[in-house]
Amino acid sequence: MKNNIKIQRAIYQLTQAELAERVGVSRQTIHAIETGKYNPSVVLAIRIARVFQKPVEEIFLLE
Amino acid sequence: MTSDVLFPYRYKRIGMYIFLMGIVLGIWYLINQEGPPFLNWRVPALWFEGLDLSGAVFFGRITDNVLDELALILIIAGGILIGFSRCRDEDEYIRKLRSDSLIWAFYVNYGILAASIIFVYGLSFLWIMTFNMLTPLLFFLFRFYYLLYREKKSMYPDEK
Repeated sequence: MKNNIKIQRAIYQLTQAELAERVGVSRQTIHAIETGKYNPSVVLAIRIARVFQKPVEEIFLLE
Repeated sequence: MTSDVLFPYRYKRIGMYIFLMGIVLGIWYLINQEGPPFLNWRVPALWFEGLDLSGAVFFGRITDNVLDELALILIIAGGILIGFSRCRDEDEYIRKLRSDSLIWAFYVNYGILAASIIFVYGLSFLWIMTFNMLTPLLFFLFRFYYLLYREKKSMYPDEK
């Protein structure tokens, strides 16, 4: 699964740490998701999408 | 998301003290092969058979030097608290690292055990069995904390 969290963060001017705090995980987790090392749970994916006010599938894309 | 099967974060530090005490006692036991006399306790035994093979005792009381028992219990209790207490920033990714480490430890432990079964014989195998009581836990702890360390190290500086 690919994602464009890094781009979304740039649009919303959020650091990894800030995004991590808003969705209730560690910065490591955001880093691992951005680098494609970890696929988040559905709950976390929805939370991230909510921060960027977009549907989940605009942020997370099947390869 | 955190799991209810984990201990609270504060137990991690307690676990470290208990674990270290166990390691010190364990090394003492390995070097001296016998504990200090004040640890000769009269203990309840569910099952006991001496090295002289004079017959097993069930549900009896025996006298034993409990240094090795203490060391093992402290290492097990401490190790479990270290490995299964929440991290300060516990979340689903750290849970995944913990589960992966458990699987890794299982593979490595049984890989080494299988090799030992093939290549180690006689009384020497008793040593393998002795250490094998603790190696699954030790391999897991090593792997889990190594992964946490590697994750922290691989992060690039935070930016917008």
